[in-house]
Amino acid sequence: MAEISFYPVWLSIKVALTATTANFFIGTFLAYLLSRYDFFGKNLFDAIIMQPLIMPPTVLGYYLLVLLGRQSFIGRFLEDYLGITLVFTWQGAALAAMVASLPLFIKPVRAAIESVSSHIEDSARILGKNEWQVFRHITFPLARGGIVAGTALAFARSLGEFGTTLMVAGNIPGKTQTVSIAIYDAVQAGNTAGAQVLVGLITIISVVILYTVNRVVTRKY
Amino acid sequence: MKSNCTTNKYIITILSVLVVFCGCGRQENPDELIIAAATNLQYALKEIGDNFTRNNEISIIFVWSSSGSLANQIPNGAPYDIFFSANKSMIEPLRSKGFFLDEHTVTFAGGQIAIGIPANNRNRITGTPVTLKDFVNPGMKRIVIASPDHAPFGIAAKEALTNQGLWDKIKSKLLYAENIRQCLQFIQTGNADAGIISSNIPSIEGILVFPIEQSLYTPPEQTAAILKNSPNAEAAIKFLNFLRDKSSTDILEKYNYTILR
Repeated sequence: MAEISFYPVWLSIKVALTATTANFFIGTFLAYLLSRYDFFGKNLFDAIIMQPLIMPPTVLGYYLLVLLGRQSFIGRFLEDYLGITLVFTWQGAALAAMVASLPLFIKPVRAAIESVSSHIEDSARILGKNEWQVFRHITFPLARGGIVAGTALAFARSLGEFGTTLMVAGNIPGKTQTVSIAIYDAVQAGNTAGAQVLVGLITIISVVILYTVNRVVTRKY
Repeated sequence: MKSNCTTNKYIITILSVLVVFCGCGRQENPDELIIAAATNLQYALKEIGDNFTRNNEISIIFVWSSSGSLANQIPNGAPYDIFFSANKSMIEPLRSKGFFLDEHTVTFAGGQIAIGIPANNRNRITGTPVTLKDFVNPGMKRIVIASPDHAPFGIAAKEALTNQGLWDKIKSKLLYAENIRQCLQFIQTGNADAGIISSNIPSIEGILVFPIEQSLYTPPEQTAAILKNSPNAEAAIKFLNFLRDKSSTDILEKYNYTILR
């Protein structure tokens, strides 16, 4: 029982990168919306998208499984009409990681966007820039610190994600078994040596990635 | 200008990463079976699976968990070909809802439970076998069994304790493990002073095993069913037939299963 597969390491990185990329776009959009616009039910909406931080991950995973599984209308629609299966696939694991880490991305990004002076944005508007150009050339670059922080947090959370992923994607070796789940599995199987190797590897990888991000960010900006 | 250029580069990198990942879809491999099985079967099925792969060139991916949690995954679309439950009652509700190929559901073996204690247990008088009655001993502070709600070996453990008239006396000391593997882990690490485990496993370093009288419980009936959605039903049927092979029944007997026909 001592064999170790390194596939989970690669899978975790793939899942975390996909989740973080998706959060980068969705999260930036939502954070911009929350910080720059007032709309009905905004505070309630904010409270709802923060739920993954509060909810136990397995409960969150259970909701997602019920929402997207074959028993639900949405799950059947995606599978029958679009050929997309989310539960028990790596894409499902990425979705789980994304939902779990979204609030960690939005909070710092929203604060960063709010701290960008609207006078500068207005000046750009007076100079004839449209909303996308204002965001792209003024708001985004000025909020970059918060966006990088949010990205790093979301990536870290995605890489370590366990409970939600286990519920949504299961524990299928070579398909949906991420590092966190492989470590849990190895410990349960009494393969502590295998677990230690994976723990060591993922620790090194995450430290290297986060250290590199910090270096790049502090040196250049 | 420099910062715009870097932002562009970021966006391009991120987009290309996305494109690469979205390209890989879900592939079905006809020479591959995904078998979801109760953890007590881990050792026996692994060996049977190795023989099967050698004879048929069909590789097997095993997913181990408690029967209850696997059973819950199936209605939600878990992509398993065969489900091995540690008892029949986990199969029935799914079968009546039409999740399985009915004619291929087989109960093939009966499991066995045993007492496990950490080898370095201070409470043990060397040389005397441990029985269930020793669980009332005040030195046994924490006793682990698999969850009696969803793990068949936990259900059997509860039955044995109840029939022995011990359940109410030791209830407050009980820890529930998620499955039989976690049960072993609690004992092995000395976090539980004793526990009821499956004896369908090879001897484990750090755990001393003592038998429990078979008349005290209903042996968990190991039952296998093929999922209706299985893309590899043919290979799955082949595997279930292979369970009847002499080499397979020998392996099951080696791990203390009673062969049921």
